[in-house]
Amino acid sequence: MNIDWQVFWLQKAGSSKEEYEDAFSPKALIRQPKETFRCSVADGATETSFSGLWAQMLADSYVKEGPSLAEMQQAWQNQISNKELAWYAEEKAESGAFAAYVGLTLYRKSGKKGKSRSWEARALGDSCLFQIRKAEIIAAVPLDSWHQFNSSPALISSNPARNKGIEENLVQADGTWRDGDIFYLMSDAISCWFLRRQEEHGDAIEWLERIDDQTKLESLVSEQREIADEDGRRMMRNDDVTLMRICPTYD
Amino acid sequence: MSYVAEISRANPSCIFLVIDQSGSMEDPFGSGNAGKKKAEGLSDAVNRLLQNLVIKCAKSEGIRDYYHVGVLGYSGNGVSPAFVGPLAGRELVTISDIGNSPARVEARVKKVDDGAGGIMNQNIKFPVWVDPVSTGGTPMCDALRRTKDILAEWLSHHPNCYPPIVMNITDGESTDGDPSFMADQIKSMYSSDGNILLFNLHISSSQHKPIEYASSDYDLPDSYAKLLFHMSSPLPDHMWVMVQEEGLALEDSPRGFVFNADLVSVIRFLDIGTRPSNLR
Repeated sequence: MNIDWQVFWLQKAGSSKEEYEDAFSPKALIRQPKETFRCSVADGATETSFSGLWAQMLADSYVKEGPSLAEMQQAWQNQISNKELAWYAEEKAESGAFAAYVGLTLYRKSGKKGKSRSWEARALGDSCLFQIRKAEIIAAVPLDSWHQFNSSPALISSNPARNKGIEENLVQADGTWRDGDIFYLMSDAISCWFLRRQEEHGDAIEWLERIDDQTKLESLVSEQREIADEDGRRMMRNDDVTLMRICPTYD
Repeated sequence: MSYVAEISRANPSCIFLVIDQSGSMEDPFGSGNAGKKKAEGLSDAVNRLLQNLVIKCAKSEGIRDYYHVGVLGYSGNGVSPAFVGPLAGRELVTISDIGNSPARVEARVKKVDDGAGGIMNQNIKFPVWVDPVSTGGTPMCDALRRTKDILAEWLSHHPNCYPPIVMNITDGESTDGDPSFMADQIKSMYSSDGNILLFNLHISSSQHKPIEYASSDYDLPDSYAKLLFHMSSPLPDHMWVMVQEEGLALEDSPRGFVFNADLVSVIRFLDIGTRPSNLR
């Protein structure tokens, strides 16, 4: 299986690059035939601190199949404990960091269900996976309508006490792929825009396919952040944006 | 549609607290707060509000200035900024000024659930920006007039902001006339995103049960509570939705009025980005 893989990202308008709190894994791709390919996008919650660090841990752990959640929580805590924090930062850190993530695994020959060219996905929160075939969305995980997005999703926390019942929000999905299919992993703002644009105008898939360099992503995002609907809401919420594109071929 | 403007460092909003420091605040605080004076209940409420706002805006690298903040006191000494410590005398400061300049950080003990059906003591840090004060009359009209002037100036520099939220915290007994007119004047000011919101927190000696976000004056215990209810802005739709998501059953058209409760929940309803539903 060969993988054509690209990732583009942009921080929230008004923030610096260092303040980008989405994450993705892998960071780069070694182009060689693979039997299995794993990738992930995660999104640290704006209202929690050290959430970019937590999001990267979640994305990496999906791709590397470890460490465990408990080990990551301890590693996050260790990194924070080593810092000297002001009273407010200390209090904020005690609440923990929170993040959404979506992970995708592509199999060339046989997935766990024994099918050729299969995929599995796992998602918690509002980062999304979309599978596109012949200019149609044939799978959307975990959300399939832009109406499902809000500013208070259940997210996975670095603080074990905040994760009670969180497994109920974990969505797992699987399917098969063909040569020519395109998979996208996206953080929430661009996922929500994508579903809305596709529903209202039917051309969001073409918009994304045209993005082949960073400039084109920046141009799309800055334009859509400026356009407001009849309620005064921006077509794309001002938030960090991550777009990962994966095009597998069998040989 | 109003109340949808993004709150950001480039386009901050404003939280303006107007607090009653009159002699009547010396009276005992009701609703299960035995032994506490209203003035202490008030300063605790203000300090908790500021603490929660600072924490909301805190990030790994420090505090992001999503808000400008004022605290104006009114008492027999007139109307003046109520900050003590390094911010004393300042009418409007940034939220990072607040976080970085409390007068002091007290060590307090909080009773918390021990997870096994009991209660345990937990040591907490309690930053203080405002002390309990109770002196003379209650010039609420003057305080609201000064608030109007300060916010008119502020709005001229921030015409597209999420509208300022004014929180008036009082036992309701104005001594310089009916404050309704000045309240209406404040609520008539606006940014391109909507009118200023005026919320009222009524601190009372009454043992009447706490009330959050009343929808009518029917259940309110006295004429002061009713007056403050009618002065209060309706909750914007997005706040109403968030109140319901937190499980508080509200009737239609709730207002920003609470009785012997606290207004910290308002801080949770301010939208500055993704807030996990499992972070309470």
